Amino acid sequence: MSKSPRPGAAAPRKRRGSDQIVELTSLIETAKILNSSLDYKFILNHIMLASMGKLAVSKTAAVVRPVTSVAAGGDALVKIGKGISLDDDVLIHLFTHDLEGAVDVSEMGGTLGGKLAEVGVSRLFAIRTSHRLFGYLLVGRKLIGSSFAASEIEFVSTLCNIAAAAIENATVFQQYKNSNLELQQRVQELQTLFELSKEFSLLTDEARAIRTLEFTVMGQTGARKYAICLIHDSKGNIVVNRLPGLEASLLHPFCSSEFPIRLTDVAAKNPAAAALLASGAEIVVPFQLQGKTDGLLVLGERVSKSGYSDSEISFVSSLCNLAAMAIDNARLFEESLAKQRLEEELNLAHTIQEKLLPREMPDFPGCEVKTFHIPTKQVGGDYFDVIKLNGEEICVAIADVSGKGFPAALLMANLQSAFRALSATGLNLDEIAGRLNNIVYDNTDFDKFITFFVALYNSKKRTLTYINAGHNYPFLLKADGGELRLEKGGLMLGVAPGVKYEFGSEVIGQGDLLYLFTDGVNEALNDKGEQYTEERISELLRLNFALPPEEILSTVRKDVAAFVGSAPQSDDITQLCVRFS
Amino acid sequence: MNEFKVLTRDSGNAVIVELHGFLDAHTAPELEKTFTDLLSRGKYKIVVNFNSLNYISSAGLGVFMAYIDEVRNNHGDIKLASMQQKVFNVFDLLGFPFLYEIYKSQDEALNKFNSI
Repeated sequence: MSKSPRPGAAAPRKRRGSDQIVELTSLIETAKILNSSLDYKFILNHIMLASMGKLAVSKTAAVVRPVTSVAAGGDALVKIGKGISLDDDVLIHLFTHDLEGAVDVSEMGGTLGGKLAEVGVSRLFAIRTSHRLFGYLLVGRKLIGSSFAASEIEFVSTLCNIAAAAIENATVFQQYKNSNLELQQRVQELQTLFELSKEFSLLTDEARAIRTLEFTVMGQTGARKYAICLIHDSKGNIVVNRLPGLEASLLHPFCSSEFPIRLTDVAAKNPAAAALLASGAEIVVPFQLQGKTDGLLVLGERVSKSGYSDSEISFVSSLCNLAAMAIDNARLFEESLAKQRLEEELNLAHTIQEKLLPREMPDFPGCEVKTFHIPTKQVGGDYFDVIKLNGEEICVAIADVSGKGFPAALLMANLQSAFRALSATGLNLDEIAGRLNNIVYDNTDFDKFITFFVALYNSKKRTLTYINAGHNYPFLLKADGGELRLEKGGLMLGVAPGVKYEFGSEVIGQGDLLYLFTDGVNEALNDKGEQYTEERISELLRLNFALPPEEILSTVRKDVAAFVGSAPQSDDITQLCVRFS
Repeated sequence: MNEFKVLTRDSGNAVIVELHGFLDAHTAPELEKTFTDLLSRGKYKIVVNFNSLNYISSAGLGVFMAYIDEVRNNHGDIKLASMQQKVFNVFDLLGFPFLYEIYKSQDEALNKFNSI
C-alpha cells in the first residue's frame, strides 16, 4: 500500500502547472485509497495528514458521525485529535450547526466560534455529501503565520469531499453488514423455534421439556442466571433456579402475568418488581397456554452482560409458549398412563374377585341352588357363597359390603376367606357370625361394615337354621302359599366388637323356596328416582313360584331391568335362590 | 450421517470430547450426559473437538453454557477446538467466542492445559 500522499512540505509562492499535476495525482491516489477503506479512523487519519502537509499546520482534529443501523448502536462518534482536543459540548454544537464548505473560525462568531478559537482551530471543513453531513476536519494555525491560500483551501475541501464519499461508502457497507447480521440472527431464531416445536411434539416427559427449554434459552440468549417456575392453581413452584437470591414468594405476584415484564421499567412503581430485581432477575417471561399462565421464565445476567432487546424477549416468549404446550402434553400423557394403569388393575381385580365367587353350584341332592350377580363397577362389594359341608348339610350366604370399588372389594375378599375358613370348622352359625363380626371390626374403620346373612340347611332333619346380621330379610316361600321373612340375628358385621348373634330356625317342606338378594334389587332406581321395593319382589316371587330357580332369578332380573329403564345401574345386583326338594 | 455421537478419551491431565454429526435439541441430552459423567469423575479440563460436528443449534450451545460455571469453579475449563466454519458461525452469531477459548486445533487447546 502506498504511503499517504503528502504534497510538497512548503507551499510554493507561485503555482505552476507541474504543481497542479502533483496535486491532482495525489488527490486521485487519495480517492483510491480512501474508497477502498471501510475504516473511519483510517479515512480521517489520512485526510488529516494530507491537510497538515498541504496547509503546513501542526494541529488538526477530525470527527465523523457515521449513521449506521440503530440495532448496532447507531450514531457513535469517531474522533481523532492531533494537538486539538474537542469536548462533548463543542461536538454537539458542531453537529447541530450543520455547516457547509470551508469556514474561517475568526469570522464565525457565536459560542461555537469562540470555543473553537479557544482550542486553537482556525479553519473548519465540512465533510459532507450534497445531502448528508458526516463530520468535520478542523485545522489549527499555519506554522508560518500567513493566511491560507485559496488553492490550499480548495485542495483540502476536495480532500474532504473525497473523504465524505468514502465515509458514505463505508457507512452503507456497515449498514449492509448490520442488517445481514440481524437477518442471520432472525434466521437462527426461526431455526431454533422450528427445531423446538419439532422436538417438543415428541416429548412426553415434563423434566425433559424443561431441560430442553433451558438449553435453548441459554444457547440463544447466553443467559447465565435464570429460573423456571411452573404454576399450578395460581401457585408458583420453582423447578430450576440459577438465581441465588430468588425465592418462590418473590414470584407469586407475577403468577398471573400475561406479557413479558422488563423489571427495570416497572420497579419504580411496583415494589414486587423492585424486590425481584434485587434478587438478580431482569425479565419475567410468562408461559401462556390458552390464555392461562402456566409458568414463568425469569432471566437474569447473561454472558455478554448486556440487556435483552425487545426482539429477544419476544423470541424467548415464543419459546416459553412452546414449552408450555409440551409440558401440558407431558402431563396429559402422564395422566392418561396413570388412568390406563388403574383400569388395568381394576380389570385384574375384577377377574380375581369373580374367582372368589362360586361359579359352579355344588351337587347336593336335597335342594337346587342358583345365583345371579352383576357388579356396577369392575369391582364391587357384594358377596355370596354356597358351600356343601357334607352329604346332609349345605350352607348359603349373602353379604353386602358398605361402599364401592377397591376398598369394598378388599373387605369382601377378607370376609370370603374368613367365612370359608370358619365354615369348615364345624362351629355353630352364631359362633361363626360372632367371629366374623370381630374380624371385620378389627380390620376396618368405624364407617365400614357388612350386612350378612347365612343359612344352613340340613336335608335329613329338614331344618333351615340362619343368622341375619343386618341384611335385607330373605324370603322363605312355603309350598302352601305362606311367606316368611328371615330376620333373626343381630347387628351388621363390623359395627361393634363382641356382638352376640341369635339364630333363627325354620322347618322346610318339599317345594319350599328360599330367595336371598342384596339391596341392588329392591333399591334399584328408575329415572324418576323411585325404588323397585321389596313389595314388587314379593309379588313377583308369588306369581312365579312354580318356575325353576334359574327362571325365577331371570324373571326378577328382567322385571328390575324393565323398571329401571334407561337409568344407570346404581348398585351391585345379587340374587340367590334355593328350591328344596 | 446426521446421527450424533460423543466419544471421550483421556489425554494427559485433560479429557478430549469428540463430537460427531448433529447437535440439536434432540441430541443435546447425550452431550449433557457426557458432561455430567465427566464432572462426577472430577474431570474438569475438557477439550471439545468439533472436527466432525456438522451442525449445532442453540440448544446444543446451551449444553456448554450449562456446565461452564461448574467447570471453571473447579479450576478447569471447556476449550473448544477444530470447528468447521458453519459451526463457528453459529457460536459467533450468538456471541459465544466471548465466553469460550476457541482453538484451531485440538493440540493447541491441549497445550494450553498442559502449560498451566
